Amino acid sequence: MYRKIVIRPESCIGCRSCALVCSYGHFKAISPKLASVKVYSMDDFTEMPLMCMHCDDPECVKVCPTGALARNEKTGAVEIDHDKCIHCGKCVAACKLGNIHKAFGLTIKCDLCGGFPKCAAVCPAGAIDFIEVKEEEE
Amino acid sequence: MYGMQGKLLVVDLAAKTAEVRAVREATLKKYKGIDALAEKFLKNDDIVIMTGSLTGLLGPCTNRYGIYCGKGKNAPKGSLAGFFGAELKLCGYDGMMIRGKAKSPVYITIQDAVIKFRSASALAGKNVDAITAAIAGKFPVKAGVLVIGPAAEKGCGFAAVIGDRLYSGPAGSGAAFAAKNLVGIVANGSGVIETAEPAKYWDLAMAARKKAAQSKFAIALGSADAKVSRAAAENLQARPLAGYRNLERRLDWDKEEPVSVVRRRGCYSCAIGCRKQYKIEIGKYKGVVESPAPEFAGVFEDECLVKDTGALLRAYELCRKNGMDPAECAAFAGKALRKARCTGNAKAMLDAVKDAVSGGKRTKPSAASGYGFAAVRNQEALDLAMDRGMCPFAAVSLNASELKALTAAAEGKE
Repeated sequence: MYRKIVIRPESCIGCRSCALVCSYGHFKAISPKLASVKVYSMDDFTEMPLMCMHCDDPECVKVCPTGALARNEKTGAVEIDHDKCIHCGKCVAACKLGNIHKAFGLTIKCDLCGGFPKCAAVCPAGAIDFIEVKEEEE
Repeated sequence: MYGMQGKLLVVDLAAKTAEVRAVREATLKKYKGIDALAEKFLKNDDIVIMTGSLTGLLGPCTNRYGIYCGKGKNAPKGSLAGFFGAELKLCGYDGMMIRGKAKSPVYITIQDAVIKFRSASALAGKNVDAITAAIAGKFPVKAGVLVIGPAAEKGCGFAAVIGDRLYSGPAGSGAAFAAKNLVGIVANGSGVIETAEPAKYWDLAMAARKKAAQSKFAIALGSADAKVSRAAAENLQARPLAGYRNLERRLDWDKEEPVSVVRRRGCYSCAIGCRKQYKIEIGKYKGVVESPAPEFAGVFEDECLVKDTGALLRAYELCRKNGMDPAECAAFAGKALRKARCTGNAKAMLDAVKDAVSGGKRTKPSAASGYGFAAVRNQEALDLAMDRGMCPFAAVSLNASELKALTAAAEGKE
């Protein structure tokens, strides 16, 4: 059994609380650039939060020249080791979903907050959930 | 002072120039709050837009900002919700001072330090949704938007600026924008807002969000299930808003004209989600309409005594799309209906709202339909929260000591 992030765009109220809590929780400051969650507007009524999906076979890990990106086996998250990261931007280019970006000299991506994602906890509409998945269900 | 940026954007529409004015720490500490700071910088017929120390932060519904249009007893002033205030602060400004009059209609775009004046001549006669889409659509991500609609262009007395398509500014603010040939402002920021005591602020903000979200009032406001909404409303010891009560009571259990909630939306950092998209399923007015919270359409029931829920939502929509203050628009329509001896007539109400676009005169709403809380136990907390940039819908669930601790953790010590 493992846990994964589930996004329900139909429930998203577009408040960006997920992005705020991500930025503030990690960096103790509010900034859209520091958030690894982005909220995209599809139309006037539909918005969708998006963050790293922690792919099964992540391209970002493959292209990283210093081995700074690796899966945390405990949480399942693909995490950045900031001591190893040289900010070359290869992972940013490799991510097909555009869920890694650079800001203020840092490479920013979701780390599942150590296994307890704050965005899922704070979402007032249940648009982001962190659920348990049994292997056989998948 | 933490929570603030220490900078004001001063815009001269006549000269099409923008400059950044530094605001001293001592000034921010002396004139704390949206109201005091805005009044400090307000001169003659200038328009001042001001944020508070909580605007843009992580907190329960920390999205309010104030709009002040000129000096004088009856000068339009008030606060509104949405995204614009937070985006302005993320651009690096605590507020804006708007001076002079543009030679022809313009709108302003603010993207961090880049300020541009653009012609709005092509937007003449368009409604709020169309203008918002036209000026905000140029941004790659969602921006905060303030626009006027046809009512302001045509001289309606209670024309209001509309924030982010939905949130009405003070009655008369639309006319003040139109008098300066200012059609709209759009802001999109990528800056940083810091707090004085991050760890403490985090704990207090998360606790406040939880409390605000779990209050009976928030459940009633935010529920997408009309039955839950009704149950919570019935269980509330104090009915907060007359219009809200009236409209929610009709949702879902009025068998003749069922209206259901399609989906919810929220403002910046919302913990409630009171803005709703409704589906009117049968009847003359069927279709999908949107309202920030039920009381905004409910004011039309209070003033015009119309019982058709579909017509009430349509009246609100007409009001919003044309850029008018709903409470005064409803009062104006109610007065017209009483004069014509057709109170309760849905079609006459909608005709009166259409007439208001070009001929609306300031009309004081009745006590029942005015905005506010009928029974607020913590007025001190409410005043403090609104003055610092928190929505009253969240603040009403918090007490004064919680609010004081939250603002102190954001702003820092004296």
